[in-house]
Amino acid sequence: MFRYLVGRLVSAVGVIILVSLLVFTIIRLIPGDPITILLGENLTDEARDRLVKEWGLDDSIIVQYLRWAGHMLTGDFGASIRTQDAVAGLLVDRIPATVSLAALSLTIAVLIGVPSGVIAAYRANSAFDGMAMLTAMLGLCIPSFWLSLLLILLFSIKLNWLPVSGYVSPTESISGWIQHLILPALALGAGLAASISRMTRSAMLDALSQDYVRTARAKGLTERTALFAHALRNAMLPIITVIGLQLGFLLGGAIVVEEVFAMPGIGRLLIFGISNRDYPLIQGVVMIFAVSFIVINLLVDLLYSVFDPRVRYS
Amino acid sequence: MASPSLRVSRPATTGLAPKDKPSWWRTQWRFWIRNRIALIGLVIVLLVVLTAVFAPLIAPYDPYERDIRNRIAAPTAAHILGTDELGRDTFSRIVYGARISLMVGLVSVGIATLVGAPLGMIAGYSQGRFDSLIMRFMDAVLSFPEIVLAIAILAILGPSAFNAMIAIGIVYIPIFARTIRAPAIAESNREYVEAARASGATGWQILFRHVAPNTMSILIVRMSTSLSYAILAEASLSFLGLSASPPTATWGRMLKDGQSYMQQAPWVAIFPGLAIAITVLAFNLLGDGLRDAFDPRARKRIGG
Repeated sequence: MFRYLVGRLVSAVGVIILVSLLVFTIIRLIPGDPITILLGENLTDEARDRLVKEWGLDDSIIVQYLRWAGHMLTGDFGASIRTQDAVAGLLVDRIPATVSLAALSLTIAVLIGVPSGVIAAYRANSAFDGMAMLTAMLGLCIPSFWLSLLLILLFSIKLNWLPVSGYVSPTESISGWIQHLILPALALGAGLAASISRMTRSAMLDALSQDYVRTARAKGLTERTALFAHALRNAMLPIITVIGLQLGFLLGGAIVVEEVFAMPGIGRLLIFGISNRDYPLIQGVVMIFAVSFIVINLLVDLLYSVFDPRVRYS
Repeated sequence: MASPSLRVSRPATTGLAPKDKPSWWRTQWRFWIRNRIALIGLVIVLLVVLTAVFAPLIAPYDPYERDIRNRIAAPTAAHILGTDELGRDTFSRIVYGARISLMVGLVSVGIATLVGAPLGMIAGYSQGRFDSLIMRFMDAVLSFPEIVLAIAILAILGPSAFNAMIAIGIVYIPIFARTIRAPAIAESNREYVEAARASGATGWQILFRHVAPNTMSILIVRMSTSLSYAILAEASLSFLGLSASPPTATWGRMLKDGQSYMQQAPWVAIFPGLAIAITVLAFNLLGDGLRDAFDPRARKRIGG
């Protein structure tokens, strides 16, 4: 277990280094030299010389990368060109909204996806199964931003129950926080709920046809125990895998949903960065996205052992 | 000259021999009638393709023609889906929008297939250092959430429909490499490949004559489902203002523009989304249906 853990950590760090190299080269791949792009209309010879010295652009590229990576490690992501604020500060301000959105979406998706998948498998080929799978198919095909607009049309404009856009911090008002999050979380969670439901159904169908479930039933265990303690427990593995894989989708989808609901999250910060050609900001946000995705995948791998003691990580 | 290896490869090419040609239509007919879900998907896909190709004939108005007196007008007989904030006909813009969606989808999936599938095939066939090198690199690319990667690439290239195709294409390369690698490994270990190797066929000959044809059905299924996700991705990017620039009609952009007028004109926020959902659903049904048809075991497991 320990050796597995170390190996897994080393490979995760390796991927993070690779990603940081990619992100570092982003700014160098842009046609034209970075200073002209960064300064834009503020370009003067003085400003140029100052920046070359400040960033050490006369050093070799390896030295530059190491310095940049070193700054990143200490939490120094540079300053935004557009707002002049520290990128790290901007990220810290924006992370709570995105994390709230992702967490609530995931909760909704699991609460809808797992039970509907279990029932669909248990009553395979019933009317419920058909309806659930049709809904899941639709859930996969409806773009989250369109679902957002439809939810706004119904719940905010027509019924006037929930706010159209914005975000309230939970430290300010818990009810305001929830009211602002419900629609975005539903819109973002729908697609994930659909994937989880489909995977749960197929994993459960597989588990229910196994000998150990027949044995469990034959030795007189209640149907409930056979279903949950035996079948579902074994079906959890592929379900967790799908959830882990889809978390990246959740992070990506958050960008779009935050844009629709004008939520102050890091996704919207990325779009702001791109439309203002604010490269330090873009680098910071992309790094955060990639690192969180890698860390999440690591955690998902470790979760396997909780649900399947047979996984010994040798 | 028919080499021994060609004869051993027959299992891969049955049904394509010249003498079977007259029955091609009937084979097709039988295949599609038996696979209703795929057929429904195929019919809708064909309708969308026809709409895109014959857009100038189908659209009742010029999609760029503004009619200031007729802004955000509700659906009427003249404008069956209403007009947008500049008085442009929504239906005509949706018809033209099909062109961008399909083109971005086809080109990006084309890029991903042409680069990813050969990489996966060679990696799977060689199963050596090349294999682990390629697959590690693919893992690193896959460690980005797909839309984040596409956005990062667009941040470098600059937003446009052309760059959106490239960005989505790059994002899907690892998926195709992975999809093809597994069956390529399986096929490479089959007896007929060993027989071909024993009869003196070179690695490339084995790859193209024997391994490639046997991964075709998996590739077709993957392409169909990827098309649906590529179209969805393009819609997201154009919603974020990172694909074709205005005034080009794209479904995602139409929704973005419509959002501000949603209260007075809900139709501008409904119909373009419906177009996206139907098209994505059609490619998904086609992909699911084909997968069930090619692999009957999957039908039992996943349900039809």
